Amino acid sequence: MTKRRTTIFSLSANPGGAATFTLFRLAFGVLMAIAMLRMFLTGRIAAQFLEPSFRFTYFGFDWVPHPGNPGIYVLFGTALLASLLLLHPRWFRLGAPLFFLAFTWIELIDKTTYLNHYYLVSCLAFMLIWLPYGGDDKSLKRSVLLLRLMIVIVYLHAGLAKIGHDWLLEALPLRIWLPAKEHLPLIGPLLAKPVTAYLFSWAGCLYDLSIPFLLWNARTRKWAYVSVLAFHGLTAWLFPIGVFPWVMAAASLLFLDDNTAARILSRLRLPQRTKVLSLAWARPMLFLFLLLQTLLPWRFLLYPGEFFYTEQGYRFSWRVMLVEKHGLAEFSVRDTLNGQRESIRNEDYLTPNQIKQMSFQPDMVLEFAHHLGEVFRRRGWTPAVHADVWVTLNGRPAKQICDPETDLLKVPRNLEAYTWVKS
Amino acid sequence: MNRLFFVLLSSLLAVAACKENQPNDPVFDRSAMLTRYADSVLKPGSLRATAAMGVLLDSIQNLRSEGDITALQGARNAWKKAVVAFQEIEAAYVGPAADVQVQLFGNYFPVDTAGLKSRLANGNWGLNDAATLRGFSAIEYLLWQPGIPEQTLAEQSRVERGTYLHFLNTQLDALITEVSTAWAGNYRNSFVEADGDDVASSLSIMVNQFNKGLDHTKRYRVGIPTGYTGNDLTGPADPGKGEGMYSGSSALICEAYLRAFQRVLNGNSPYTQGLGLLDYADAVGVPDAQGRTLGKRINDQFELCFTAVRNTGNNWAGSMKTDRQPQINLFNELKKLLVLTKVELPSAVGVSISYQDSDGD
Repeated sequence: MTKRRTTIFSLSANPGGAATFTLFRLAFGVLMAIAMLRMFLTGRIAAQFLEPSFRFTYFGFDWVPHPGNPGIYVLFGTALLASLLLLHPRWFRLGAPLFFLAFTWIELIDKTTYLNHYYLVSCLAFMLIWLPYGGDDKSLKRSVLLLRLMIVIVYLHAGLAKIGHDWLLEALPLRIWLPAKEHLPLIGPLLAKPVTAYLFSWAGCLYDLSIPFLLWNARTRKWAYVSVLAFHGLTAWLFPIGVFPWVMAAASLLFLDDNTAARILSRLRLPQRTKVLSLAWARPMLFLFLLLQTLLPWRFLLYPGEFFYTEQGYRFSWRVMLVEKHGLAEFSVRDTLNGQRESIRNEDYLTPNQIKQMSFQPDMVLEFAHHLGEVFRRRGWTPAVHADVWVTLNGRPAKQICDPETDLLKVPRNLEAYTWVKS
Repeated sequence: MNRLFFVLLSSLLAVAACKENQPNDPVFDRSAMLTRYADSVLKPGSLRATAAMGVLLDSIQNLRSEGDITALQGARNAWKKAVVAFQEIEAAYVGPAADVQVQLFGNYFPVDTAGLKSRLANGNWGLNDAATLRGFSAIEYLLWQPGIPEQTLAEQSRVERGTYLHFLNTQLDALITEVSTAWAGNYRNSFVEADGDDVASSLSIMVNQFNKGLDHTKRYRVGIPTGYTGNDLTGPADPGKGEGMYSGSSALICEAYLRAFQRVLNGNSPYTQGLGLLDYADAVGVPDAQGRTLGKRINDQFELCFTAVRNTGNNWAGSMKTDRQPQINLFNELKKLLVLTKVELPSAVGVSISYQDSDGD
C-alpha cells in the first residue's frame, strides 16, 4: 500500500512540503477567522443558536451540551481566537486542537445547521491537530499528502454523487435554481435557459471528478488552479453558500509544490515553517481517519428504500447541490387514554429555519415527534404522535412520505432502516 | 483535461449566447411579472377593496338616517360586496396588508358576541378594542344579530346600533385604506425593485405569504367549524366558530377568497390576465409524468375546490350540524391545494426561503 502511494506521490514533479503546509495553514486560519467574525456580525449566532427553544441533535451526540447565553458567544469567541492562533508558527499547536473542539462543538449543537462544508472544516481541523507529524522532508511531504487525500475524497464523492439520472439527464435541480438568478447582470438571461442548466450540470460533474487530478499534476496545476477560482467564484456569485467556495479555493493551495508555496510566502514576507509534532502514531491514525471518510459516504448502500426520501446516510457524504427539496410536515398528538387530540403549530416549538429543514428530513421529523411526546407526557398525557409529511423532490409532484396513522413514538431513534418512511 | 474544461465552459457561454438571439426561446421576465403584480393585481385589488368599503360606509350612513328594512337590505348587500372585495387583500397578504395585520384586525372570527352586545348596550366602545370586537364579522353581527326582528334592527340603526356600526365601519375603512395608500405610495416601487430571489425579494415574500391565507382558510374557515383539530376530525360541527354564519355567507366568502387566490397565483385580476407565479413556475418547472405543468395541476385543483365549496350551500350554520360531509369534502380538497401551493410551488419557483447558507457544489 505505502509503496503504491509513494508512486502516485512521486508522479508529482515537486511535491508539497513545509511551505505548502504553512501556506494552507495561513489561508485556512484567515478564512476561519473571517467565517467566525461573519457569524458575529450578521447576528446569526443568536438566530441559529439562541432563538430555538428546541434543538435537533446528532444521533449518538445528544449529550453535547448547549453552552447557553452568553456561553455560545464565548464558544464562538474561542473559535475566532483559535483561528487566529492558527496563523502563528508555534501557537498553531494550541490553535488547532482549540479550533477543532470549539468549531465541532458548535456544529454538534443543532443539526439544522448541518452543512457539508462545515463538516469538511471539522475534518481538516482534526487533521491539523496532528500535522505535520514529523520534521523531516518525508514526513512533511506525507503530511501534505494526507491533507490532499482529504480534498480528493471530497471532490470525488461529490462528483460520483452527480452521476445520476436527475443531475445529468434532467439537469435537476440546476434547472430549477438557475432561472431564479435571471435578474443577475450579464449572465442572468443565459441562466434562465435549460441548455445552461445542462451545461452547468455536466461541467460541474466533470469538474468534481477531474479537478483533484488536474491539481495534482504539475503540468496542469496552474490552469487547474485558475479554473478552481473561476468555478468557485461563479458558484459563490450564484448561490447562497457562504464561505464554502473560499474553503475549497484555500484547500486547493495544498496542491501547490513546495517551491511555489515558498515563493508566495517569501513574497508576502511570511515565515515558511510550522512547528512540528513528533507523533509516531499520527500517520496510521490519520490513514484510518481517511479510510473512514472514504467509507462513510457509501453507508447509504446498507439501507433499503428511496435514499433521497429516507435520507439515511445522506450527511457526511459530500452530496452537495443534488436535490431541491421542500416539505410540509403537520403533527398531531393524541391522548391514547381518552382520545383527545391536539394539532401542533410547528412555529410554537421551532424557528422558521428549523421548520423548513425538518419538513423534508425524516430523522428530524422523528426527533421532533419524540420531543412532542415528551412535552405532552409532562402535561400528563399518554401521547401518540402522528405526522402528515409531504415532500417534493426536484420538482416532482409532492409525495406523502409516511403513514399519518403511524405513532412515531413507537419508532425508536436509532440507525436502523426507516421502515416507517414510504418509498 | 483542464483545457477540456475551459472548452466546455466557453462553449457553454457561446451556445447560450447563440440561443439568446432565437426569438421564440422562452425566457421569463421576472421584473415584468413583479410590475404586473404591483400595477395590475395587488394595488388595484386594494383599491377595489377600499372602494367597496366606501359603498358600505355610505349604505350604513343611509341606514342610520332611514332606519327601515330597505336601507337594512342595502347595508347587508354592501357588506357582502365589501367582504368579497376584501378577499383580494386577504389572498395577497404581502407588504402593507401583512404590516397592518389586515386579516387579524379586519376579519377576525368568531366575534366576541357577548362583548359586542355589552358595548352596544352601554355605548362604551373604543379604538383599543380587541380584534375579536372588530372588522367584518363584528359589523355582520350587528346587521344580522340573531333573535332580533329585522324591523327592530333597522329602527335601532337610527340610534345606538347605527352609531356603533358607523364606528366599526370607519375603523375598518381606515385599516383597508392604509393598505391601498401604501400601495399608491412608496411600497409599489420597493416591491417592483426587490426582483432578486433572496429571502427579502418580492418573489420570495409572495411565495411565503400567499400560503398563509390558504392555511387560514383551511384551518379556521373550514376546519374548525367542521370539527377538525388540525387534520383530524375530532369533534362535532361547531358553526358558531366559523365565518359568515349570521349572514349565511360562509361559502360565498370562502369561494371569493379561493377565486382571489387563484387570480393572484395566475397574475390575473378580475378584468385582465397576465404573467403570474404559476406562469413563472411553468416556465422554469418540470411537468409531471402525465405532462401536466404545476400551473395546470394547481388550476385543476382550484376547480375541484370551487365545486366542493359550492356543494356546501351558503347556510352552513343551518346545514352542517346535520350533514357536514360537504365541508369535509371541501377540507380535503383544500388540503390537496395546500400541498401544491405550499410544498411544490416554492420548490418549483426555486426561491430561497432559507435563513442560513446552503451547501456548496
